[in-house]
Amino acid sequence: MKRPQLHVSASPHLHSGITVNCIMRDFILALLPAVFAGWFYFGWRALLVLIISIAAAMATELLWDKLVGRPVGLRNGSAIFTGLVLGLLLSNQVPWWIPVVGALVAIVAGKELFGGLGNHPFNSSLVGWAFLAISYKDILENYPTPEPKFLLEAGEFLVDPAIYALKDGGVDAIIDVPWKDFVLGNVPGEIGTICVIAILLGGAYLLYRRVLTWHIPISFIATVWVFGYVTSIVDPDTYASGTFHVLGGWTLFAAFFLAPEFGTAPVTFGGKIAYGIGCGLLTMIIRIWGTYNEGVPFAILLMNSVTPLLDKIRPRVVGRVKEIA
Amino acid sequence: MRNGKKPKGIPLDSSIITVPKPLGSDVKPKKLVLPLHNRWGMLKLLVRPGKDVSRGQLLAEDERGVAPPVYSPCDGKVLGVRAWSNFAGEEVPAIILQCSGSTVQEHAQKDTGAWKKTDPHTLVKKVQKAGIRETDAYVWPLAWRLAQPGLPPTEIPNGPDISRPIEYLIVNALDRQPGVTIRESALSGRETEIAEAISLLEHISGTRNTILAVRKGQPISDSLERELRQRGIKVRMCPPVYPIALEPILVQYITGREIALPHGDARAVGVTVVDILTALRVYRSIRDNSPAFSSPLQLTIHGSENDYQTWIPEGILVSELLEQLQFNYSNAAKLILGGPLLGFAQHTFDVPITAEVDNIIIQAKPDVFIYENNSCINCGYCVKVCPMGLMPNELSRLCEYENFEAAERQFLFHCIECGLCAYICPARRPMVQLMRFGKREIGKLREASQEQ
Repeated sequence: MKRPQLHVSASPHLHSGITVNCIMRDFILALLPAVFAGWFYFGWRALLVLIISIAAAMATELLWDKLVGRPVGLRNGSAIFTGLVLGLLLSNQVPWWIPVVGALVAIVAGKELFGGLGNHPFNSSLVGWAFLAISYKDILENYPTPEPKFLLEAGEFLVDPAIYALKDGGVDAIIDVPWKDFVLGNVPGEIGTICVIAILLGGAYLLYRRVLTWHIPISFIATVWVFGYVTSIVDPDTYASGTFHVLGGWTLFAAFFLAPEFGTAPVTFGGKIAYGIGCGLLTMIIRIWGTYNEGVPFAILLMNSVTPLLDKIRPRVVGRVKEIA
Repeated sequence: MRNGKKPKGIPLDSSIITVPKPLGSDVKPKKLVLPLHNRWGMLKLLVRPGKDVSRGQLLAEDERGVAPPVYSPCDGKVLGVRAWSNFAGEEVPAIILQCSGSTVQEHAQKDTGAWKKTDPHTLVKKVQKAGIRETDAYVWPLAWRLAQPGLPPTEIPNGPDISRPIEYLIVNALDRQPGVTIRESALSGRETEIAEAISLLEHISGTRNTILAVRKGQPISDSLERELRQRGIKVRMCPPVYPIALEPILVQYITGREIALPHGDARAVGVTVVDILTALRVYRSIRDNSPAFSSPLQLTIHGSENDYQTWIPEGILVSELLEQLQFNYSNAAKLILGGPLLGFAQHTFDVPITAEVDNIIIQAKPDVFIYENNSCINCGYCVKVCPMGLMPNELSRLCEYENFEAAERQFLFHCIECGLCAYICPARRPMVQLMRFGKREIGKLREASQEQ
């Protein structure tokens, strides 16, 4: 009988079946509750911003790959994720060209110039966002009051995002906001970052699917909470509580979707913990004493830059025994 | 006995354990191919091509006295010596043997228990002469690992260091890889033989601590338990996780002792690990006073519900075995010798099955996993899963960009090539291939520097 040609490869001959596509799909699925919350509070315009952002990111990646003659990497879905995250970090009031410019910078300067997915040193979405935040500060900081579609009354305790209110008005400005509003996301803010429940749902999904490990999110959130708790005990009239710092602002969104981005975060146990703690500390330092309102994005970008250093905190290598006679 | 911590890895799914079916009638090979090279060295041919040989005749031996010799498993004729692909896909010289008689023993011998009165040193010499090759890549052949201090199987200068007494003898009845069940089925149905085999090894090694390592949740028959208890053999349940059955990890889990890598000599920390299948082969060889000719094999064929499990003569070609099964080649796309995670893919069906191979897999086209030359996305999954505490992401990149010195500094040679990093890699990178490439290139560099 004629024998077939055999396929030859190195071992192993099995695979877990988890590919980059699956991971990106999980990340995008995990963001869907936040997308829903964005639509629920800010209406169809929020979805429009997201769609423009995603489309711009995909188009940029496609064009770039064609331009430099690389195989088109759209298939793995990382452009969708970058665009989606960038969109969720914007207000629904931004003009249409803001997400386009942001996605362009995020994809080209944030990712492709370094060689694509996994090789970029800084979180690509945040690079895009930081460019916009520095260049078009006034356009970006236009946050409407949420108008819930059904069931809820609009939360009217705040006219600015909670972190901004804290910076401008001190603890008095935010002390009366009910926790319920934070948890449900019934406060002014960006499309994706306001609804705590939606973000936690997505985060829990990522941990359940083991796309992420707990190290970075938990150490990040815990550091923010402890820092806030200690400062608020020292001087409760000046500093807001740890719980406020966790629930208000970007902390939770960043802990699950920004800080652990592959390629920009450490991979070892010790490195991840140190990275999470570093993100948390810088976040609180910038929020309390810095000039920016929201400390999270620059905290993460700064910590991204020390990631190679943190990866030196290695696991113990088995079999590294001094010569046994 | 100190417990090591639970190793990392992937679960050995017990649900895929299949009911083995026998091969049917005895395998009667027409041609046998016996490689003259194994992991401990090159053997010297003792017969001239064209000569007739008889069953059990010594065909080749190691001049240094380390590597196990090769015997003729059947009556027949030496056709010649040719370069032939071995189980690992390397071209090595091999004896081609034409078989005229059967390879099986006509009548199974009854155990006279003579070995109980024989002194361990004589037995260790017999083990060395039995020609036993093993599935796992141990640093030294079985006889050297079993030998008591000061009593080497052969008197050679600069032999393995056996000065330390054997404090633990671990009989490894764990199946190495997911889907391989041959050791688990070997444990059932031959209780006395198993217990006797373990006692024999205990007798040879002179140890007090003999441990039978089995999978947690594996059913052990009452009679086997009784036999083992009577002989004072401890049974140790191990979590069903790949790669717990690999030597460095198993030794650490059971004894808490760490084998110094990259050399990986367990004997240096007073531990000897013996495969349960090897134990059986040693026992039969000593009992029948004949070399070990046959080895157990599990054959997994795509689309077939049950696996074949049988003892086959060493040296039979895969193609000849498949012929006996009237195998339909049309859908076969990949032939793997040695299991799904550790095995070697073959380029031909004409590859001899030696005792290094405990499992053969034939995959159909849809089952074949294809690696891609993608760049690392730095997800860190491999770091999480590596049982040796390495950073495979970094190592694979260092090897890829040929920065071998840095890779060696990052403990490339501690990699045991278990394959978990490639199994888990979302970017489908050929991790093990890159590690092997790095190791080989470093080996070449070393050779070159020694020549200068």
